[in-house]
Amino acid sequence: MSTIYGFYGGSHSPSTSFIKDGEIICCIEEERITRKKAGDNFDCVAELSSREVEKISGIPIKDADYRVFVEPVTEAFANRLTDFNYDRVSHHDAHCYGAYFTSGMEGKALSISYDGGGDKSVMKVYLCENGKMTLAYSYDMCSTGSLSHLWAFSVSTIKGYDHEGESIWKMCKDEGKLMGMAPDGEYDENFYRILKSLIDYKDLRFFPIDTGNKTRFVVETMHRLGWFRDNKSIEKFSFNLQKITEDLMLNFLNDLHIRFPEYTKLCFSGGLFANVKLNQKINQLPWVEEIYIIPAMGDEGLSLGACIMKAHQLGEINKPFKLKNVFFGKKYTNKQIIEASERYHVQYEKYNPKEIAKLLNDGEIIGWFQHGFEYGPRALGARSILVRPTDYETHRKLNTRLKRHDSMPFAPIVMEEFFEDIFNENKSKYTSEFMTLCFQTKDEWIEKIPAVIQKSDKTARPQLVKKDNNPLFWEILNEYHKISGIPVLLNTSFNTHNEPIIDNPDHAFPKLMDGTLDKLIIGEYVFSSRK
Amino acid sequence: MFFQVGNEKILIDFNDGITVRVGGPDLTYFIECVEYRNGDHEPVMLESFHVTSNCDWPYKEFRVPIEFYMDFELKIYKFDPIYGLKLIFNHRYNDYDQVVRFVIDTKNREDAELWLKKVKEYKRKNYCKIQIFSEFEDMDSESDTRYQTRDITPYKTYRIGRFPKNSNDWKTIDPRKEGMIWYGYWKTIWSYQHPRLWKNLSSEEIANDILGL
Repeated sequence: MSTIYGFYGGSHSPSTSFIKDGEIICCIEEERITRKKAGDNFDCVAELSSREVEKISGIPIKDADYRVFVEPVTEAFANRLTDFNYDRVSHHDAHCYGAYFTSGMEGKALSISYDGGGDKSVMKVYLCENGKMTLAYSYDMCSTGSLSHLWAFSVSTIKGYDHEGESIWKMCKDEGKLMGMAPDGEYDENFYRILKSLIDYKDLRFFPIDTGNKTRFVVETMHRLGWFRDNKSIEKFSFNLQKITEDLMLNFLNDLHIRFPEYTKLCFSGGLFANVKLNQKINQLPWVEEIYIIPAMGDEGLSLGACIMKAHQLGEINKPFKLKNVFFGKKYTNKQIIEASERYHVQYEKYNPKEIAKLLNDGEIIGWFQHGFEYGPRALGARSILVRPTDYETHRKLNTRLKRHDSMPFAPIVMEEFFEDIFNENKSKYTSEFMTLCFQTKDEWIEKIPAVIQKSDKTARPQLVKKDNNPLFWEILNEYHKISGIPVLLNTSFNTHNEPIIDNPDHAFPKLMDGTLDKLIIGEYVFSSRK
Repeated sequence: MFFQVGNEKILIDFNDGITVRVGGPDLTYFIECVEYRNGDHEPVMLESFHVTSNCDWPYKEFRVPIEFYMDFELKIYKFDPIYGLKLIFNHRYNDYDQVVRFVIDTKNREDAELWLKKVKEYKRKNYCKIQIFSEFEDMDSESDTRYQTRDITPYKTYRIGRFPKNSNDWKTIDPRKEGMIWYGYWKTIWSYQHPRLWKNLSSEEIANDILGL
């Protein structure tokens, strides 16, 4: 049995992961340590995260049995960490292996990765069965169109540039903002036709080539000509961008299904599948039995994929397994928490879920800090902010407190036992433990939980909470349910505008002190600011 | 070469890499250079960006500095408010019946003779009119009649020789690629004059590389 380090340090979203004897021990994204979001920090490597993982694992990188780097990687970075003794794996192989082996899928499945390009590909498709993976298609970056590039370059040009020439919205960071505006837009034949001149699909091929630069030219020109002067026009563009993404991707998947009809389970990876609306449409395809999106679906997930590939090659991971959670980041002891609290004007008491449920029901905003921090873009119960979901006004109130300007609706966490009562589809529940998929809300619940429902299309991006996998989160939900009759809370990531999700107690306490939060739960304690 | 397409005036030149300029009523035009590798019908991306037509900023011209032979195609697009990205002009490299200049850059007679043979081989393959400039007068006279003059702007100029990397070869990537240059979308070359490092190649291989033989 082996110790394996995985590293990704390409153009954005670097991370480091560590697996021991086939078990995931630790995965850390660089942005959590540098405190700069991936889209603000291109060309950085996994320098700091590798040191953190070393501390947590207790095994120096050079003493590990294997070190695996995901392409593209600079030799200088790899050599600095490893003394020249390391493996390299392909970008999209790491994506596909990571997704399939954490999918828990039995029998036949397709593992599909799609992003703006890594290594030389934008996309790979693997046929998977009982732990065996066979490459079916690989799409070369220089001869294929890319939906991810369509998004990345739309985002980075639609709002124009600041006085220093920097994009107002950034690729690899603000795609969610654009996607969040789509439901408020409408179909526009002209917008759709313009987007179709940038990317189209036929016979398992996306074309024309070079979607990125073409998109930049077209959207930049539209911006310059004043097509995006108001939010309404951006919403309309976003709607059509989302529509063409769904139309082409569903056509592609339907064509794949014709070729491989026995493969009805799909696992996905790559930045494109951060698009929860697209994932919803895929989940609704009648022939699809189940979909799974790896929680760290973007390039931040590659370091884990690299570890899994190596462990599979060594025979230490042979079959797909299910993740119980993604709390693979840094943890803090009670002693560290109390020591940190002494640096702030706070008081604390023992955590009592009944009391907190009451405060939530009274409308208080509660910071939630438990376990090691999450791996991937979503706050799933380690670094979250919780609020009752019952008020229309919550969106404005929370955005004000968190200094955010997002139009994206906030997401609900839902007790597993009530999931099917609230949402229409009942497929792909495992992936919804990681908030990677939208669901249609049942009519009777729309008015009860308005703060977590998209106003225009009545969808939500729920996190299904299981008692066994996430007991603390389940417990607070349960207590709130007892008081309110609602087995749902609003969960948003513990960060303010433009910063990554927090890491340590010293990132959390200031949010209590500046009035962002009413109460802060860290480990076994509830902190409040001293009057 | 000058082309007029509607209101757009297009100037292309292949004598020092690939250069394109566009003038017209729009502020910007999008130019793309794709390559057909190994006889493939499907092109691969080589380079693209948009150029400014009526001022010098940010890009007054489109340029691919690669000088050696490639089967490439240039495409020029404009933004059309109805159709989006609209192709207004394309030109695939084709020197059939065109004047092509070959600069044989060596003082070594033996090399020059071998490279002249390669030039003739290129002519037989592509049916172009050749114009030769070398250190040896008798070789220059092998040019097709009427074309032995510098007054003519040729369709394309090839320089055959052993050229060091120059300061323009700025995209040299990390040492694992052994000094190769990453160009556009993943095309790796040794320099803008040589697809491969010439030091370990024969004279014949060097000419074959440069002329795509």
